Amino acid sequence: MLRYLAGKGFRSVLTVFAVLLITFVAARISGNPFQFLYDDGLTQEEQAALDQEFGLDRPWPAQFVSYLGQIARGNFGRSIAQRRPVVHLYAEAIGPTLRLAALSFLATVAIGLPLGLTAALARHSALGVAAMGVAFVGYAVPHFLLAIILILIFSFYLNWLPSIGSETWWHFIMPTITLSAGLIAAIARYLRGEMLGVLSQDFVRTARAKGLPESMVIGKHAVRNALIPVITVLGLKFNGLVSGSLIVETVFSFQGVGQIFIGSVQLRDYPVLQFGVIAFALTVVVVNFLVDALYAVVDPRVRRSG
Amino acid sequence: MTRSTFSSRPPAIGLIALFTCVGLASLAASQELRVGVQSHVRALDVQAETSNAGAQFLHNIYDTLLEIDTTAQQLKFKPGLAVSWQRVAGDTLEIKLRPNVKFHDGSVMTADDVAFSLNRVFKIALPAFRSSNGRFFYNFDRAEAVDASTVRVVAKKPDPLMEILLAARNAGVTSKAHVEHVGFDQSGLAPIGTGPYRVASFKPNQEVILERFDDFWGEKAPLQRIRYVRIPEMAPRITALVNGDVDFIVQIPPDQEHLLRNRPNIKLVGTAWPMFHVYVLNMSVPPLDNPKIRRALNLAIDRDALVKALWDGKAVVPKSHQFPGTASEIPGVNLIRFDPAEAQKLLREAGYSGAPITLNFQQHYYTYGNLAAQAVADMWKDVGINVKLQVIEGFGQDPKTLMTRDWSNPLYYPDLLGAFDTHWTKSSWVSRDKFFLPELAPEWEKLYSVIRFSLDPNERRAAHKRLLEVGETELVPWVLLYQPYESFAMNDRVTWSIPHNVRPYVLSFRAGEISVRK
Repeated sequence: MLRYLAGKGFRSVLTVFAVLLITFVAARISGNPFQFLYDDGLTQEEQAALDQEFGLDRPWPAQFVSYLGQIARGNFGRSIAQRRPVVHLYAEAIGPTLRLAALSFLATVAIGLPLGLTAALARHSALGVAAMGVAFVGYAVPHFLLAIILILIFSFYLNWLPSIGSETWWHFIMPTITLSAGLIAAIARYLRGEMLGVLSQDFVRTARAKGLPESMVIGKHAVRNALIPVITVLGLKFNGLVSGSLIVETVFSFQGVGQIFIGSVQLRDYPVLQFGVIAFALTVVVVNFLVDALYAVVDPRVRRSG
Repeated sequence: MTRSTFSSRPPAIGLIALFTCVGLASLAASQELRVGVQSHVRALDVQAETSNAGAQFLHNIYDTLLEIDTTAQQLKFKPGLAVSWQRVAGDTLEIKLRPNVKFHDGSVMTADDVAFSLNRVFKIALPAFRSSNGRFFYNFDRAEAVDASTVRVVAKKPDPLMEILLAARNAGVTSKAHVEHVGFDQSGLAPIGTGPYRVASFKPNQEVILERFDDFWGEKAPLQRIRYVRIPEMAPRITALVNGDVDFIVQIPPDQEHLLRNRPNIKLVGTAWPMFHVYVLNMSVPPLDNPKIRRALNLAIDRDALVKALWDGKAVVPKSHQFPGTASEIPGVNLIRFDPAEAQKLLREAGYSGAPITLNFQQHYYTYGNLAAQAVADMWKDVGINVKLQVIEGFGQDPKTLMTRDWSNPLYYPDLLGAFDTHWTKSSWVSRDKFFLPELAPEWEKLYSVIRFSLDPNERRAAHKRLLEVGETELVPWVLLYQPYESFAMNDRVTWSIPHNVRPYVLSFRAGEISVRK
């Protein structure tokens, strides 16, 4: 088990390092950040002075090594555009983003699992078909389109829900729906598929033959086994939650880290961009690592094979 | 107004309409104005922030020595932080300061604060001040505190524009002690001015909340709070107003107005800005180093068609580099026309061989900028020019190869040079990067010197008329497209009109400039 987790951990660290290296180089290939920061451009002397101030006058490998050293000391640098610590920028904006992610994840679990179960258990009824219909729509409609449709209906025409900001829980309704719709659909579809597979397995037939009540057969034997691959899918889909939040925050003028991150891309604010990428990559890697670990816990075959 | 929290809100969805009404009512009750802006700023330093986005905030936070009456059609100065001012020489202004003016941190403004603030932009101590200096203050030499209540401002040369330039918001006054204590970076994030509103909170590029400053020296601000929130996309901005999430939104182009027109509780206030959308032609790069080719590019553009197709006929086609209806306009100067036959003739005379000409533009930077670039490229193709469209980002391209770039020329102050000296002078990037080579017209420098420095108004106007002709027909460093038209939309309880004699995009929320009906 420990060897299995150590292997996964090592690969996770490598992944984050690779992502950081690619981002570091790609950001610098895109151009110099000071070209955007001054309305009338800069003289060569001013440009050189600013480059020196932020260490951008050194060769890229030297900059990268220096940056790694900084990170090791817990210093992620300061924003070129706002000239204050990068960590402060993200810390100020993380609250609404975490709330949105948590709500979306809860909605995914609370709606996606029952929807998938319903679709599997009542697959020949109108209810089951309707559940899958809802899931397919959620899966097919992209975030930005769903967001605009929701805003159009519930804000522009009905005036029921606020269309911008993140001040109250009302502000979270449409962003949460937008962000979780695709995930709910994915989870529901996977669970349905797994359930149908499990329900045709011998051990389920055996359980029924033993005379166990149907609730026990479904609850104790079928669902438990069907959930194992769904956990993996939940972990993988968490990536969608992270990337989707960037789009959702923009459309709803949500004051979260997505806005900071997108702003840093637009302004080539290297330190802010790099921290954002590391944070997002770490989140994804950690979640995947946890999923792997959880998978090993719930399925002993993984432990033994790892 | 802030919305009620989830837990305190009645669950019945039908009651939400009632909440909307309550929301509208609370605009007047709370005296908070929520403004949805398209673009925001990363700092609020009054000397460093020269963008259109910054103009939305600075007017309400900072005072200048001389203030411009934004409600008067004609240019009219009124005392600001100065109670009086006097020219003691062509190059020197002596200014008596208003006593007991308080900064937002409670300290009292001194002559040292005024001299400190002005000297920041008279001399370029940091690159951040270059833009202000180049646009407004390059002819100022120094500001001196003569005594506790007197400041002397000295120009390098006698200057007819001293008063009007000192009324530019970038000559606003900030606290010397504050800036020196916290440093330039922090002072832009926690700004201290003397204006009718103080900054209560600031999230760079996202939100600014201003609150009424009760110790303001003049008439108290009409609003208790102003919350500017950035809503970059047009559709959510319009929706936010319709939905009552904000009370006031900016930058609505004509093709979006129908979404707001005839809606109850909403009104539109629009204008064709005293501002040109411009293509700068690089006079140093072949084949644009040939004036006949530059003239051909200018003559090949059907501006009426652009205005009709893109702007619903509401933008204004220019006749020269000046704005109709402004106090400084010289009437009867009609230099811009659409003449494709003449353009083709000039191309033949220039021996144009089909060398590619690149039209560079910034993606979605100027309203309809993408569409305009495509349309202009087609018009240039129609006269036989081999055009390539290329998107650029910000500054930093190699000026030795970049042929054109899109730009805007707003009227920063109501004078002959209000849209000229800020853009087409030696201190501008167009000169620095050798896009603009005025020395190719021997008359230019002499004419410009007269307009810039003569103290005789008639002499200035005569020289300006000739300068416009030289610019448009001989040098041709620019292609003026149109004066863009934009609207503001607001809750109909708000009474506000576009301020006069200040630069475009100023959101003027001082006493006498806005009111909210109860």
